Amino acid sequence: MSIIIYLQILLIIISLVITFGKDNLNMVIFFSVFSLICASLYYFYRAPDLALAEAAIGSAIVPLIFIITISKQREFMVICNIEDDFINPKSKEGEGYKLLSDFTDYYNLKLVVRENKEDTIYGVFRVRNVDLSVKKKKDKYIFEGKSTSIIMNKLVQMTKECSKVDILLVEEEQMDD
Amino acid sequence: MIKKILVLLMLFTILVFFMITISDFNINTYTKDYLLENGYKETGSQNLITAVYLDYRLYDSIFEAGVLLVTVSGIIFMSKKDDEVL
Amino acid sequence: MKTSEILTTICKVLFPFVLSYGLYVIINGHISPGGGFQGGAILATAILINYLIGIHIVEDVGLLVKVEKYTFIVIMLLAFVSLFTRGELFTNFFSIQSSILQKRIFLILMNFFIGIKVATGLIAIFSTFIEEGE
Repeated sequence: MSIIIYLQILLIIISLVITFGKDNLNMVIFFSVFSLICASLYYFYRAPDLALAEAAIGSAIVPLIFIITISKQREFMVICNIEDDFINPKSKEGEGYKLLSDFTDYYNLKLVVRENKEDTIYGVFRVRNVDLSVKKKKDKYIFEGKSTSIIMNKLVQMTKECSKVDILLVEEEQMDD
Repeated sequence: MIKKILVLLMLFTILVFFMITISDFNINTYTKDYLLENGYKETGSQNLITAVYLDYRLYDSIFEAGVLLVTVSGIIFMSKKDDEVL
Repeated sequence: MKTSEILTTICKVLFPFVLSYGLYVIINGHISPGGGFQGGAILATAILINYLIGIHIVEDVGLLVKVEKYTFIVIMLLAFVSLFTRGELFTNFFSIQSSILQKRIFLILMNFFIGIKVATGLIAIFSTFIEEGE
């Protein structure tokens, strides 16, 4: 009987940690532990089939979905509309590419550059996940980003010295041309 | 402030009434007794939960499986909207 | 992102055991705790664990959804048979006087099909999530 009380107290502590914690990946692991303790409590309360379902879904499938979502969020998506040496995604060279990789290294993000072809980008992906798009107007390169994104301010600071680059901040709906 | 005290009082009265009703509540064990007596003979399942959800309430569990089908098709429809829909 | 050697080896060793445990839970659903839904979830977990170490098992999501649809139709038809043999809708299709071994055939069939349906459904949901990001 005493192990049930011990597990219940542990459950309350872990749920408080999940609620007030800051790091996302740690929270996913705590969520998995929460489900395991829940499953053992179900077993002690004589519901072993519920314990099986909880252990399979709560502590394996849902944390896997969360982990993959978090790892997808660590990308910085750039759509490239120009075809010259300023940004060259294949050889990873060029002045603009170096600027962008400096910027993403500062935030520990992964830089992904895609060329604008209709058949490579599709689905829900087209509307929401683009962080930056690059265009060319006369002699200047124009970076278009969301005005709601916080890290764009850092990009504005970094590109002050570079005379070739202009930054345009637009609203959320105008990003997907 | 008065509103909060009123809400607290209401919640407390509800709690007390629930506790009183639960303490002298006669739970009807008619279904439980019937299942324990006839469940194994009528369905052939030693696990009485399976007896309930595959024989007595099969109508319920079939449409529970249908809900999962609807969920899957909805997610696939949202993710492949522009290309061909399966 | 690099995955560690220990995680890769453990996942590969654990995979057949988890798979056979899921099948055991499905087939023995009428004797021991468990059943179609729980066993299907365990089967789905066994296959989805492979995504952690970078192995992509599922090639075609459309095939999975097709399997799920036809399994649902089979479940409906199995439940409808009792209308002709017993006169009631949605029960066992053997008559109520038949022996316990005969009645168990229906339970095993239903558990098996429900397990396949749940497993394919969960795998389909998860692999669309993964394909979306690539």
